[in-house]
Amino acid sequence: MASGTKLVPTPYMVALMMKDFAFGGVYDDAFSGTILTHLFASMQRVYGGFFLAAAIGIPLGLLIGKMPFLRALLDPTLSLLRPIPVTAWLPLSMVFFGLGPRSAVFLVFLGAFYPILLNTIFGVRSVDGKLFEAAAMLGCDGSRMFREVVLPAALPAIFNGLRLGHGFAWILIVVGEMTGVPTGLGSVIMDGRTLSRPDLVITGMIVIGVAGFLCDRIIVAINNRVLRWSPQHHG
Amino acid sequence: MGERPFLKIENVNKTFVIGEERVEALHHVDLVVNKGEFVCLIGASGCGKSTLLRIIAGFEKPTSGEVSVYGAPITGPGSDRGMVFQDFALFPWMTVRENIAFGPSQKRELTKDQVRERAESYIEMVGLQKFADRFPYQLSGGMKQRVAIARVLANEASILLMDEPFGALDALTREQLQEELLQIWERTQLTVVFVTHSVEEATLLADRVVVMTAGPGKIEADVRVRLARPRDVSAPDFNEMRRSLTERLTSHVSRRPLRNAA
Repeated sequence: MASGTKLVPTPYMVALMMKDFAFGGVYDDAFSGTILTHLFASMQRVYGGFFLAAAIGIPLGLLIGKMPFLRALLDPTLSLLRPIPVTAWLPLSMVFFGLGPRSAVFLVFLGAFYPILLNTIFGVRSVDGKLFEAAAMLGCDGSRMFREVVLPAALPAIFNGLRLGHGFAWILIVVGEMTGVPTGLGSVIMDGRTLSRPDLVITGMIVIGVAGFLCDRIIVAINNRVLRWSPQHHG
Repeated sequence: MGERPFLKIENVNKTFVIGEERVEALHHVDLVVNKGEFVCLIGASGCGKSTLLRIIAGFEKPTSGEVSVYGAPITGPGSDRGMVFQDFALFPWMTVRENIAFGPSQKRELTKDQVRERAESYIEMVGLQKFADRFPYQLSGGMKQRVAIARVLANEASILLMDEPFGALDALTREQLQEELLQIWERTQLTVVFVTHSVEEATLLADRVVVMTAGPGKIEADVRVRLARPRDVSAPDFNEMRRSLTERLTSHVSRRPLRNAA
């Protein structure tokens, strides 16, 4: 290790790096003024994976939660796959999707999928059975039952799953972007490591933290709006 | 009475299997309810009165025997029978208006305007116009039960099944709702099967009181209440009726500790 290299940068160095990353004009290197490029690249992957996880996890969870035979059919597989850490999928996902953004999206999807799926299943199963009985006696059945009763009744748990999954999505973007993509906040952090620029690493971490936090606030706001009928579930 | 049997319960048995144990909830229950009748099922907890009601609703299947309406066997829940639950079971994500419109909105033959119109008229019937846009969590217990009743009425069920509907309400609200229920019943010619454990409530409401006993659940007595309506709970004949029902209800129960003590 070169002497004089500071492993932990001062806050001032991080602030300077942040300014350069956002606006340029300090170091004028490959990272100057590129924050939006990297942020948007990461967000595309985070939300690509997240929305894919929601689009599959919520309907699947509703079906598994309501239909015992489907649960019996799928539960062994899901229970077996669940304890495998998402990071352990990295090599396989590179085989499946190659080096690039699709691999990152896949990892984000995996990370967000299980909390969304499991919370949706839990949500359906913990609904007071009388609500389904009430709906049935009022002439509701089939797909209308899913759309008009099962889904809204499970919404508080589903939002719980979405928030958890969303958190994991932002966590996994760094791992996902280790797979040799040129853009994204994860790749910035990896570059910072390779170049021994801890100020860059920490800058990337801060941007991820702030972006994740702000997006979580948006989900909470949507949660509170959609669940306005249940103040106890407000975030 | 020479009427064609409306709701007919024939030799219904129900056994629940809980783990290794088999619990006989209903034993050879026969009952005929005529159209427009107000029948109260009364009995101590565990006598199977709620189970019987759930079988009529189609939520449970009898182990053997049959329940039929005008000869057509009941195979599951249907919009001809509406249940009012003790804990309301309103859809918490729907407003009062949406809850009441839920049944009509399931019917394909109704247009949106007709659904809205029907919901409005039942909101008015239970006097909740000012609360139509509220969610259930913003209502009192009495209001919630009014919504539950209106929800079933708006669905135009011909049989109203009520499972201790006023049990969770305070005395004043209960009296008020009992009175409103009677008015609605008189106006709509509904058939009502009403489960309660209150002898006074049964005496006040019912044309017939069916007394059930536990272990296994069966019908002990079927008593016609021949008191003129509106009934006065402080009248001597009301008290006499109530006392005789109480005796029938407790004669079975009070024998047991004596036998145990011997």
